[in-house]
Amino acid sequence: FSMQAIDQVINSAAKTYYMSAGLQPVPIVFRGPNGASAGVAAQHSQCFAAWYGHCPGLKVVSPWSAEDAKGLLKSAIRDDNPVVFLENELMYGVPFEMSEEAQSKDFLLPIGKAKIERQGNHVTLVSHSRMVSLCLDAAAVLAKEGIECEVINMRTIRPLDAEAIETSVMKTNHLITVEGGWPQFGVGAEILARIMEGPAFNFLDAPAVRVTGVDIPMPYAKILEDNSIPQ
Amino acid sequence: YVSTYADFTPQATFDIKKCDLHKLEEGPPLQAVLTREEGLQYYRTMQTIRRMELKADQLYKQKIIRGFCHLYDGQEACAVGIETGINLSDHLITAYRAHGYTLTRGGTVREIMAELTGRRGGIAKGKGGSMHMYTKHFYGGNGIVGAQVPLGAGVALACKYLGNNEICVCLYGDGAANQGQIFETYNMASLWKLPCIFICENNKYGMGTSVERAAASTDYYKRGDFIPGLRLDGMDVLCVREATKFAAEHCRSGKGPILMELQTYRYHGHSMSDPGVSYRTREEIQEVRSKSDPISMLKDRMLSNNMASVEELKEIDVEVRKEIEDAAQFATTDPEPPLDDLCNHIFYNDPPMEVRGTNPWTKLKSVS
Repeated sequence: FSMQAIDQVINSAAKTYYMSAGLQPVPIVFRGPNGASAGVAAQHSQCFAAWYGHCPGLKVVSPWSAEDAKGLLKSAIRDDNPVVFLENELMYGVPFEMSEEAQSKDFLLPIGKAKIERQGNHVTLVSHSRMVSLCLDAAAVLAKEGIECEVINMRTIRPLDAEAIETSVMKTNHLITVEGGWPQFGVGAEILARIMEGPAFNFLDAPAVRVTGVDIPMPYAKILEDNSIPQ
Repeated sequence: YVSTYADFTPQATFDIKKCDLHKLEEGPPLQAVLTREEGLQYYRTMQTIRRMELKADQLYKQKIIRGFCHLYDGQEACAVGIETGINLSDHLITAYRAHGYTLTRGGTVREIMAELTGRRGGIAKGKGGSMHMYTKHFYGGNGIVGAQVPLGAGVALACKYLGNNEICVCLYGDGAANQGQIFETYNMASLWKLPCIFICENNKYGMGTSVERAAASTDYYKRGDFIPGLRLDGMDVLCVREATKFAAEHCRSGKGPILMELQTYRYHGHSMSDPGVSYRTREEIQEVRSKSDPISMLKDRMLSNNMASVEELKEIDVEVRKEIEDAAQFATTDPEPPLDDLCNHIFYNDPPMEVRGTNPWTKLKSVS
């Protein structure tokens, strides 16, 4: 349903502070479920991370864990700028442990900083939202074969924490981005471009790779849906 | 004892409720003629929709149907009545509570149920699901609230442009009635005199919000302002039929769009994830069921006018039940779509192309 309101998110929220040369700030948070759920078909499964992440003037946040959701939402609300808060319907039901600190009243997480969920030396997996779970699962499987993955939870889509990704790639020399959205002009595409343009390029031992949703509208039948997103 | 056709009244005239009129000098007739054949046909179709929706409820609870499922039971008179007022060559578009219309617009129960279960025999080959079913001249099945209304006006524009004397029926609910895009559509349809029948199916609740809490004006038939409107009893299939005929005539004679508000009721909640009793009472649902059920209303009329026998109607019930059972059987045993259909139907009339899979080394085939 985002697209019915998207004009106001971009034209009225994202651009206003700029157009008014600093006169009119827009401290607002737009939040809601994003991306594929289960069996909700084409019109209810689109991932908007890339669409919103494209626009200057917007901050775009995509939490994965419960701690992310709490800390980032509080920060988003306290931020004086328009923040798009992309949740995930399938993650609503997933329980996470939360530290004492995370449960405290003023727990904040900075927008624009990624988190390393799992340390590793051989390959960097970068992801956001539900796909972080997939990366951690994959890392567990690969660990048995002696491959240690470093899993980065982006937390924020815009501004992108390119530095965290670069530091990691300079250590592991391999990069895979994982997202549920479509490949073209997507989150993974942006990360790969930034790596090319930055210092980490010279540290890559192989081309960076994107794992994405299949480039089609989301089908309904289960077998097709399962084959439309990374598993 | 076998009753012959000679025993039954071949047709009868029924008084139907007067419609509330907006910017109209006169409305549909106050009486409707129903022949025995018509009555049996309407009964059968409404009963088929009813049973099909109840079966879908069952299958959903068994998790054989997944995702969204918005059921139409209670509103059957609308879909059936509207179809009898137009031709199959006319056009129709509605929102997501669309299974009934998919049937009246030419779909079969088998195809509909197989689509709900996501099988290759589904009306959209399993790729659309509950909210995205289509037939010839039926444009779905639309998930985004209200977005189908401008589309419907576009279809009407095509009809006018092509001069084919066809019209488009554009349906939406009481919730969608407050959408801005609908008012934009009213404006354009009226300016350009498009042959468009706007129909608001007012079932009193937009998801869980009652009309009083949602709309500054609940006179949905007047919301078209400069567009003439009628409000009628959507539980009476004859009322709906006569009003639709009246509206279709209005459009075909080049007078421009017209708006109908059908007052109806859904027995189920908004969708299968809504029990439907947190915003309304069970008593209310029960009352509608006992006093205004569309199928019962038609049945009572036919029986009390000796247009059919109890046995005959029971037999139809049995046949319908069997049809639904067979369809459900098909829907649960038909295989899921083949994987090589995954990327097809992206573009129309285009040469075959490659589609990126989940990783750069997976290239999938796509044909039109």
